[in-house]
Amino acid sequence: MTIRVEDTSDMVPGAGEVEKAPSKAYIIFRKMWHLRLGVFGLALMAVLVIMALFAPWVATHDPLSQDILERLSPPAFMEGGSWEHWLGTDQLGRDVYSRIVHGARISLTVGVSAVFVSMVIGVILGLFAGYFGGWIDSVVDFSVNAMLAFPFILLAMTLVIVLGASMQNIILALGLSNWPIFARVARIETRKLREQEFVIAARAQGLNHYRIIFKHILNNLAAATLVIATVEVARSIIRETFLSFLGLGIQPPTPSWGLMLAEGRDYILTVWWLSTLPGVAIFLACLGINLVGDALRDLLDPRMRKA
Amino acid sequence: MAVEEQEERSPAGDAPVLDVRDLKMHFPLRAGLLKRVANYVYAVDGVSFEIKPGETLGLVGESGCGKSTVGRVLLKLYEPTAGEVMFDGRNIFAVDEAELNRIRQRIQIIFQDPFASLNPRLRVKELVGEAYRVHTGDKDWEKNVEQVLTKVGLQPEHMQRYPHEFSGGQRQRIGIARALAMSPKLIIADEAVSALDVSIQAQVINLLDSLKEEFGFSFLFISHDLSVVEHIADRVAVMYLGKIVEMASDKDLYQTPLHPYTEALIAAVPRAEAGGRARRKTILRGDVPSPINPPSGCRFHTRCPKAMDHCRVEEPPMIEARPDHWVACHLHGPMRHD
Amino acid sequence: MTDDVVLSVSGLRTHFFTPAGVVKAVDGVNLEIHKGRTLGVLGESGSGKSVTALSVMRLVADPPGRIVDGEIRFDGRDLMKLSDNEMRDVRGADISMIFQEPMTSLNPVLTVGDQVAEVFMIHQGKSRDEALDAAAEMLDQVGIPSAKSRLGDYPHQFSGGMRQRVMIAMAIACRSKLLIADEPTTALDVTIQAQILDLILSLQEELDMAVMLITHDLGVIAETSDEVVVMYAGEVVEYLQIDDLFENAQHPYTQGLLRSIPRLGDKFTKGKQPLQEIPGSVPNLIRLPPGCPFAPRCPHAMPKCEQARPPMFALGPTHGSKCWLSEKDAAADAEPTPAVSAGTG
Repeated sequence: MTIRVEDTSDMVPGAGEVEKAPSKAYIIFRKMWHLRLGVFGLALMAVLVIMALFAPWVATHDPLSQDILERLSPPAFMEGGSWEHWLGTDQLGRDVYSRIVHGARISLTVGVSAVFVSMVIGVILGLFAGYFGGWIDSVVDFSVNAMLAFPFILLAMTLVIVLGASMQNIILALGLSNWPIFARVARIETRKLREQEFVIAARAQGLNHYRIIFKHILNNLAAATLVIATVEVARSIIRETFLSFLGLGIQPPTPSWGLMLAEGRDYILTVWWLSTLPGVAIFLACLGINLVGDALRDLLDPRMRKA
Repeated sequence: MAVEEQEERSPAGDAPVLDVRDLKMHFPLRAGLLKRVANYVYAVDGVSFEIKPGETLGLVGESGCGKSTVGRVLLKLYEPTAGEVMFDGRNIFAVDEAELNRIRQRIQIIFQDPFASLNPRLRVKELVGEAYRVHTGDKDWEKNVEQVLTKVGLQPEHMQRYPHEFSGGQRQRIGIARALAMSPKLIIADEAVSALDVSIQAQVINLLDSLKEEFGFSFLFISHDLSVVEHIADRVAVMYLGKIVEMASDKDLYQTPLHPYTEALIAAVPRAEAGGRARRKTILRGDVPSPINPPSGCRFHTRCPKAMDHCRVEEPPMIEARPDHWVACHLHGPMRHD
Repeated sequence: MTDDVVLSVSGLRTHFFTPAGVVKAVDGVNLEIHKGRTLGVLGESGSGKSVTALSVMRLVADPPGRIVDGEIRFDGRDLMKLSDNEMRDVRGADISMIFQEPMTSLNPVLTVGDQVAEVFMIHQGKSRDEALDAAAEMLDQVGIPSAKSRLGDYPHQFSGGMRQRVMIAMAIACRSKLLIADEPTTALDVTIQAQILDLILSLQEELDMAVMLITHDLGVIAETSDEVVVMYAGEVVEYLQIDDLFENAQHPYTQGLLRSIPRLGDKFTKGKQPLQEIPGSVPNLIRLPPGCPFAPRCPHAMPKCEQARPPMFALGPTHGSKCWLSEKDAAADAEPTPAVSAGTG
């Protein structure tokens, strides 16, 4: 059973003017309430983005300046802490809060860029595989399965070791090892779309393959891809931390959340907040991004949009 | 109106716009690990017909008879198994990709589902005008869009909207505008009004009728609805399991059907008239057999109330039983040799 | 004459509460169905015909839908007052329903035999073996060839027409008093449609069952129904006997529908004429006009029509029309009749 709620008032003279539609503000409120977790996620993400964009102004100290006298001082909310370093200092006396703020910049840059790289590679391969089928499809399909069978971290590690540890190379390593997830979704969606009547209609109109692929199919992939991309940004952030934690990622003294975790490891029993605080930052950032991804999925689903 | 139809390949009058010769479309069914072809769906299995300039040919049949496949394989949207489709003196199946795309501009399809056949992410302007713009390079392509939108009863300001903002009937008008934008010689309507509500259906049928009058294109109207086809077609072909079983002028086919299947189809249509309940009776028993293993001999023999022994063995040829009235049935054939 | 009423619905309102507003899918529907007779419910998409049926079964998805008002009397009981458990006993046993799409209404991973047998196990407490026997008998009755050997088959092994027969077997398994058929043949080919309609009608005669047949197809209505209600925008706009439908329809919407369909043979007897269209399209059910919902498309609309919604004017014991044009023809003392009365013929 379907309830059709189509606005056909323009076809029926006089039908639109009689009863007042609910106000725009009310509709927006209803939608926001429906997506309240997403709104919360968006707030978390906004904090993250602001921290990343305006790090020098948001931070209270230079994240690199050391002060041996102030080393390992506790956060303000603990005994012996001071508001000068409200999240405390690390083993070299650097301000933990300022390092977390600057770390956000690193994490977000790496996360977003890596996902962009894998998205471009994956979507293009998936589009061609799904649309043309045949040997292209077999090759892409096999590569996807082979890549997914390979332990991700081993692949990324190998790439970093070969390329050398720098921020660019980490982005490249993460991007090159993560495209199969985009390729797979793009391929499956493209295969479905290729059989859709509107694609057949485009072919019947005499449009060539590339126009059909990049105009008629690609724009219908955008929603699904965007949802995955959001979630993958969160995963890439975690992966970057992981690589950095292993010493294969961002190199000291650059403030990276993974590096901070690693550096705090030696003090975990005595100065627990040193690794816990960047851990909390990672958790909140990824939670925010995932919640937004979830809400996007709801919003972009055409069935939801009707309501 | 006089129907001067010449079924022979050398027509005396106007040359046909479209001439389909022994068209076959067998879809392979793959099975097993190696995806070997295990069997075929004989969707279209030797179909021949032609359409004259300005003529409307109705193609009727039940689901699975292959009528929609005919409409699509004509444009080589599937890779045909065999046959020729002559359009404008060229065999569509023999030309290269670029030429094929040029031919496709002159043959347009209107699809059944006004929701699935319009890309949800494109504005009406793009939906209707894209092919025209790409093929002609006309800078003033938006003018063309405005004109065809007006022709189908929409307003120029609808150009900026997306398909989901329209009702089913309006969407079908967009689909018609898209076809019209290319000034085609032939329009294929594949169940173009079947998904619409009764009150909207009449609007679209009338629109198609008047557009045909105005622009003079030829029309292949594919539908399962016998009443609609009768209303709109000049000539009608009836399909059953991948083959045309009868083809004649609209009037001959509906008033004096020769094939038992045509007869049964017409009788099965529920009539919107008083006293209907008393009139009800089932003519045909059983289901349509699968096109994967079509019956031997005449494909209709498993359901035919008049089936004879040799119908099971020998396939009836298509013959001209009366002037311009073609039928493939042993009841009307030259006597068999037994 | 009233004691053979199987189902009477009065003042039924079923609304859907969506973020965009309240969709008044059914808004004040009255109807009656009599023993052994067929009520045809005619309407286009969005007319509320399916929601009416689901409301009778109390199967409206909640949220977003809710029956906000009305009385549904079945066999002397008010279904609105039953508990969920009691209602479950009514469904399938006393009232059964078949749908348009026989594929999606059968569970694809259970055998057909198990699904039909289940009805007997639930409603009649039969053991599995007894139930399977009964299922075979039932499938045989609805015309499935070699029914017994097909009990172990899955739905996808049946054709569309055969699946609809299975649905019908399940529906009549408990000799229900009312069968609601929602577009039962719309997805089927015309020759198969004829078979299924025949089956429903012959079972109806055999079991003396009341049938509510919902369809958009005037031809199907003509060949199956005794009484007809015509629905538009959530309301019954006209009720009448089947013979009156073709000879004496009064509501402009009903008249418009009758004129807008092409009919076999007309082209040759009367010459080809354009079909008579109903202009415009179905109104938005969230923002219905205060007057007659059909007024914006009506060729006879008067100023009054846009201001006040017409009540049901009784034009006879078995005929009523919700149109101001019928006001002068209505019996002077007639109350707006809440229901279709039974024709005795």
